[in-house]
Amino acid sequence: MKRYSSNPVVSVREEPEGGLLYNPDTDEVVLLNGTGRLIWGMLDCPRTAAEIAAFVEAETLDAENVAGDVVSFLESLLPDFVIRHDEPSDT
Amino acid sequence: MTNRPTPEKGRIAVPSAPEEIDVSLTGRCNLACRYCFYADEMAALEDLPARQWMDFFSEAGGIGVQRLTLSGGEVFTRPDLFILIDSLIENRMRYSILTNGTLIDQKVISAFDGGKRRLRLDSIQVSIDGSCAAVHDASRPPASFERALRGLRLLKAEGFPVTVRVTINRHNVRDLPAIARLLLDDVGLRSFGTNSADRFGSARCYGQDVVLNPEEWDEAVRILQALVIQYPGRIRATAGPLAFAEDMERIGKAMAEGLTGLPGRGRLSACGGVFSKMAVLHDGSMTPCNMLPGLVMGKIGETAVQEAWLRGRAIRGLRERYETPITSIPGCGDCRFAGFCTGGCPAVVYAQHGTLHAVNREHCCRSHFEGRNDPV
Repeated sequence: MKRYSSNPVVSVREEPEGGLLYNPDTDEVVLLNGTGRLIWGMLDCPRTAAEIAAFVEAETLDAENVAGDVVSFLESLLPDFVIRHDEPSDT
Repeated sequence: MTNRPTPEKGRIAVPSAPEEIDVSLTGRCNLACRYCFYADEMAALEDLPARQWMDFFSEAGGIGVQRLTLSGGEVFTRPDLFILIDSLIENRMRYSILTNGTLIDQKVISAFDGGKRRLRLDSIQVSIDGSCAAVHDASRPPASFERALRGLRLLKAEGFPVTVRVTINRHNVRDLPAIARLLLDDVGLRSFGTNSADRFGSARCYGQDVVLNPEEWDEAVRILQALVIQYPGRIRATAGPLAFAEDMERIGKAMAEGLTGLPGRGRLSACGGVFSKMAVLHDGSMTPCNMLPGLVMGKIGETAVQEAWLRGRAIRGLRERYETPITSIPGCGDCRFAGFCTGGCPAVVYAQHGTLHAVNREHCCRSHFEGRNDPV
């Protein structure tokens, strides 16, 4: 099972419609929109994409079936901004 | 869910926190340069203890500040410098250092080996103002040159991202070709930067001795333009004679094409720094720029950094200044160069006029193209 969390070296600057992520080790930035910022707030501890997608759907009025988008978003931030924890399945 | 950062069109947006902060970590210095812009503050203000700096770094990193530029005084006089560097690293920031270079020895070089001290270091800038002791030390205590050059060579040899700033003054104008040979051919730097001494701090007392007069300014321009041809892309300037000459050349070309102005000009827009950075003096006073130390917006530990950044009167005034038409400045209403003018560095303007609602008339388009030097 894959879980995702934020890279602890990354800082976030709040902006009116999202946020700006900064990795000081690589000196790279990523600009997030509101949904991206919402997801980023979930990454303080390892979570599955399904958990995050359920949260986004609950918090966002017109969001449905966002699981695929969430995975794409998280994978696009690997490895400098997001860390993936590959854990063996329970079954 | 992600976007590439793109510049805002029209009015410049103010982010929720500065991208960068210039931090004067100490007022102590082992030298006493005759053009030091920070000399008055060094004498008047007390250093903050490390604990307060560390709290400030925590606050800055927490709001998304990306990098700090550490200066003084002389930063290497702080015995706890590397504790502070580790603290800013822990708080998710990068850093640069401005130094006179004289205290850099093998022990200091080795101290950078710990943790992420080198990974997070953007640059170390050493001040070198002459190709030899006679020139370099003319504006600072004896034996400074040998120690500064030793520090510079050590940094270069150890692969540090070292840069050099040459402050052009009355003592080194004719030495510029030799300085370029020393820095580029001998030491092997990729490039170096130049600016010039101005009437701040100790240069207010020693102005006649260090600040270029108009003839020396013109001579510096001629020499630097020849060096730029000799060393293409290796001599940089964001202020001083070379920057001014390059700007006037650009304006001259635009005028020859029949233009009456250039995009982003015609306003007091010379410095956009207040949209991305601010400064903290060594006593914790927050200011828009460390060259405007009188415009205090609060003190760290007492005023939130974000509060000073977003609502500080001084920095908001400088941002509004950015939109001020040149033609609204007394004496500039009928200037035919107004569409090309940006007013010059706000700190220089403030030092000249005691107000920010003015332009640098010592070095402006009209004085350059028409030779009109209105009294400052």
